[in-house]
Amino acid sequence: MALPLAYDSALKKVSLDERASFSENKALSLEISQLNTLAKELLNTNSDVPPPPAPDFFTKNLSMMVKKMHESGVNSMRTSKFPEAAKQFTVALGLATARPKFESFQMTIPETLLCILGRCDANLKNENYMDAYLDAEILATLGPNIPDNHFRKGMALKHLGQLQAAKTSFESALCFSPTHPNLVREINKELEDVKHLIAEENGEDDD
Amino acid sequence: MLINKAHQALTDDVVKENFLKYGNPDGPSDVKHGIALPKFLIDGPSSPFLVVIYILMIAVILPIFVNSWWDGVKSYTKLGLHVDTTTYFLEYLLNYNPAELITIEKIIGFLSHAKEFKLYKRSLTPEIVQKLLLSHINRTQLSPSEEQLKLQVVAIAPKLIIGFLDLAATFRNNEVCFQLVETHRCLIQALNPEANATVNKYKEILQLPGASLEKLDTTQPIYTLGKLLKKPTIDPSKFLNIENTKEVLDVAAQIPLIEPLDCKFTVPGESYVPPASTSHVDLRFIVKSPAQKSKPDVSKLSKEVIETQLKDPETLDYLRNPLKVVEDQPKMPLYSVPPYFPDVDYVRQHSGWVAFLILQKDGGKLADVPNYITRVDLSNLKLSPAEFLESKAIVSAYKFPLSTPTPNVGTYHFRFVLRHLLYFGSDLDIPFVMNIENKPVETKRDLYEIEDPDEDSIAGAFAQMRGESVKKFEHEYESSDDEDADDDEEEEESDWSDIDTDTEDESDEKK
Repeated sequence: MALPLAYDSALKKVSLDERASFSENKALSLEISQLNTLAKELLNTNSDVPPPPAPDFFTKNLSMMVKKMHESGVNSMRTSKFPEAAKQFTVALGLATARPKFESFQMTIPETLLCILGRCDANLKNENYMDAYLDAEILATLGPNIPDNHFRKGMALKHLGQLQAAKTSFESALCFSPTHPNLVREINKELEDVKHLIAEENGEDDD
Repeated sequence: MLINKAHQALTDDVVKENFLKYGNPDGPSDVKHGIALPKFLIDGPSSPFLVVIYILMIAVILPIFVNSWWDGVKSYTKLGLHVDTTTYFLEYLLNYNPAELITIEKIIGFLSHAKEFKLYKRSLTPEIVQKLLLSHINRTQLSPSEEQLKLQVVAIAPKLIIGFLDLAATFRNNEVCFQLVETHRCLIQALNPEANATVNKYKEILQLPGASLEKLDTTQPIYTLGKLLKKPTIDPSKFLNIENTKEVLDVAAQIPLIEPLDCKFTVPGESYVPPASTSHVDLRFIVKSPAQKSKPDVSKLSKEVIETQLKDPETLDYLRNPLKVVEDQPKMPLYSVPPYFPDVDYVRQHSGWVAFLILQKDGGKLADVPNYITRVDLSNLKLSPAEFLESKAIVSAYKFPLSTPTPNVGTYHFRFVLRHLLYFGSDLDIPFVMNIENKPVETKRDLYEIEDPDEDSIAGAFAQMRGESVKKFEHEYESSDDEDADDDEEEEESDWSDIDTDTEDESDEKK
């Protein structure tokens, strides 16, 4: 079976044939974009064969840049400039995910998680709960056994008005036995708060 | 006479030959062929036709009949789903992509590919089915003929969802399972919470008969049935804007809610949960109407209720079948029929909750296949608020049997989630812990205890075979090393001889 492919020799990129409809070839276009990214990264190495993906061999410059960007984000958080912090974390996230695909993967997840974590907190502080929820959802999926992630998700859900889901998230956070006493206190406080809100919504509160 | 014949068969050569050749000492018997039909049919003038019909029956119609029956058996799975439908949904589950959000509309997309619709009416393509189902949950009107078809299609869809639910549960996929139940409710109540945020917010109110988004006063923060019945911010008739508000509120008060009292793992006959034992989740709860406030305090319940309804009796009956308490409860009646769903019998059968047991660890997979709660006493709904708060409320029990034995010693966190198949706002989600302990068995030495039998007695031999302890045989003289070695050899020999006899036995059996 022939696939509807086209090749642009000037851009050196494969693309979906113009006559083919995008909606029918979603999986193919995903493959094409992955192929293009990989090809571009291979060309950028300026060598015939990229180095083997050893754990100690990765673009350290990139890690430095991510770290710097992350630090400036943290600094912005300290000075309560939350929108800037969110932007800086987004840039850091872009850098962390831009690592060439043939390199060792082990650095990517922790770096990415750190950046998303920072952005989630910045969004929470900035009361941008929808974006915070999206970040927290990724965090809770990638690190499902970390209580903090569930706490963040619960906070975002609570402010979005999804009280039952927020309650579930807080309860999940508690069952991963958070070690920090402040965190435990904070989660319990929020849990009580959410329970109260649920009771109010159900007309159960006593006045 | 038979003896005589037998004697001849052995002595007379001719008779013997007859017997060996034909199996009968009398020689060959005549072979007759005929049709087992009454004589007047065969001899009559229509005989050739009858023979043709006879042959047709046996050679054509019977095979066709058997074939169609066998095909029917073969093309449906145990869950009542068509094989093609099952394959289609399994393909999705096998290629499940966690990054892809599963929505109600997507599930309706899966449903519309079901072979069942094609079998019901040949012209029903997936696109048409999807359009009809979406029109149902969006509460839009179609042309009268399509409206009729829509009702038929809508009546089939929930049965498919129940089949899908079982499939998704074998993959332990809680997200797909929850969304399937949600879609089930959407089809029953004709609501699409994904259509816009307001529908999602007011879905509990919109499931009431007569309530519609156009008439609803959406400036009021009344999102739940409890709020509507107990503490409405404005008069319910103004909020709902319908004529027979009182009847509608009555319907709302009949929707059962669950208040949990106690939820724990239990092993029948044990006061704790030991490892590798058969256990079940024991949930005690109170069914209440949205019009009733809070829940009766456990301490306020009478002692009798606590003894009989919160605990299991330690009887032999209970040990034999721990689920008996649940089975003895009456089947849940259906007080109000959802106004938009056509098949009342289906609703009556599926009125109840689906219970999911979910692991908290690693993103929350299902710990076991979901169970259906259909047996619950709903008489609490009829109590007045005051009666409800006194100890007149009935405590219901539900037990979720675990199909796997309990794991090793440790603490395990679970969520117990109940989702109602018909109504919004009647769900339950509680966290609870499974503590697996290993307590040493207490052994009391009583005065009349029977001593361990001697090692060299018959009783001792039996006790050793059972793995019980025996009194060691003490040699009268001190055994030297040589003798020990001899003993060992003897034992080895006996071992070998055992094996020998075993093989002999086997070869005997083979012979």
